[in-house]
Amino acid sequence: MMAKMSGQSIVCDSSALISLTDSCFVHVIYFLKKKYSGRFIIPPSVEKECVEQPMQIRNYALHAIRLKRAVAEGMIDVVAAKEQPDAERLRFVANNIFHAEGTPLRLLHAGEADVVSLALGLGVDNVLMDERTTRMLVEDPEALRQHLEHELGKQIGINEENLSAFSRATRRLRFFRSTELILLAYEKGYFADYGELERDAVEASLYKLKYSGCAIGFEEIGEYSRKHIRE
Amino acid sequence: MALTLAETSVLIGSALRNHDVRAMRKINNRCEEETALRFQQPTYNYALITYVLAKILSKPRYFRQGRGKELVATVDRLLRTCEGLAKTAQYDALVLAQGKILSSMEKLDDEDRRFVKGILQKAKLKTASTLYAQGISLGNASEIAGADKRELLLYAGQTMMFDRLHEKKGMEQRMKELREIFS
Repeated sequence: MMAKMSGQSIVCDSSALISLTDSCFVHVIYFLKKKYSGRFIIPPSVEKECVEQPMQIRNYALHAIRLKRAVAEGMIDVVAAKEQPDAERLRFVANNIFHAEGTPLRLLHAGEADVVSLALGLGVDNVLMDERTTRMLVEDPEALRQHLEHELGKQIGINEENLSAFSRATRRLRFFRSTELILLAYEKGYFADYGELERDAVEASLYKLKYSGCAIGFEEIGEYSRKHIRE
Repeated sequence: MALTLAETSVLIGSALRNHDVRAMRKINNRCEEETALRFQQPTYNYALITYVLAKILSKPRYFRQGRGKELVATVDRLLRTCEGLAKTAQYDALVLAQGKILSSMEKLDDEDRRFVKGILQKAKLKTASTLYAQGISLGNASEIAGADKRELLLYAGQTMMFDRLHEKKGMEQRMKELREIFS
C-alpha cells in the first residue's frame, strides 16, 4: 500500500528535469525539499530518460550524474505505483481526441502518459512539466485544436466523448513549469546570497530555463519580471 | 490534398534535377505536415531527405570536385526505385531504399565535416522540433524523429515557438496556485 502523499508532492516529467539540470538548478530541488513536506516523484520511465540513457552520451552524462545523485540522496523518489490507472488507456483516449481527414492525431507519448497517470494513481495533484502539448491538452484543449488547425492547415475535428473522458480524468491536475519552481525558490530566499544582484539573477535564470527548453515565451517572462521581480 | 508516396518521389526528383531549393523546401513542409498527421515512416524519411537535399543544393562547397553531382545522380536513381516501390506498395523495401539515400547524403557530409553535429542529425532535430512546434508532444516528436529528447528541448528553446502560441494559464496564475500549495 502506497503511503499517503503530501499535498505538496509533485510528480516530475523529464522535460522539466532536463531544463533544470541543463541550467544547473538541480539544487533547487534540494532547497525546496528541505522547506516542505512534499516529495519530488518520478516514474521509472523518467529515470530511464533522464539518468540511464544520457549516462551513455558524453555531452549529457554530467546532467545525468547530478540527477542520479539527487535520486541516491533521496531528493527525488522513483515510484512505480501499483494503483496507477492504465497509462495505455489514458494515452489511447488522448490520442483519439483530435482528428484530421479521418485520421486521429497521435499527440501523447508513453512517457508523458506515464507521468500523468502516476500523478492520478498516487493522488498527487501537482505535475512539474515543461513540455507544452500535454499541458495544453489538459488545460486548454480548444486552444491546442486551433493551433493544430493553423499549423497543419487542415480542419481538426474533436471526438467529444474522448475529450470529455480525458478531461474528467485529468481535471484536478495542476501543472507547473521549471520557471515557476525557480520563482518559488526565489520567493523563499534561494537567490538571497546574490545580494543586490538577486533580481538580475532570478530574471537571468528564467531566461536560461527558457533557452534550455522550458515552454515559455519571452513576453511572458518579461511581463512577469516587470510586475513581480523588478517592481 | 495529400501527395502519395510515389508522387512525392517524383516531385523530389524533379526539384533535385532542377537544383530548385525552393521547391525542395516546399516538399519538405508538406512532408512534415503529413508526418504530424499520419506518423508514417516513409513520409518522415522524405521529410529528412528533402531537408538535407535543400541544404546540399544551397551550398556550393558540396559541388566542388564533382561530389555533389555524383550524389545527385545516385539520389535520382534511388528516387526512381522509391517511386516504383511506393506504386507497388512495397513499404519495407521503400524504407530501405530511402535509408540508402540518407546514407549516401550522410557520407557526402562526412567527407567534408565542418560541425560536430552532422547534416542528418541536424535534419532529424529540425524535423522533430517542427513537429513539436506544430503540436505533437515532445516525446512523440523525439520518438518518430529518432532525436534525443534533451537535444530536442535545447533546440526548441532556441526558437520562437513558445512565443507563437500563448497559453491560457500564464506564469502569474501558476505562481498563485503554487504559493497556495506551498504556503
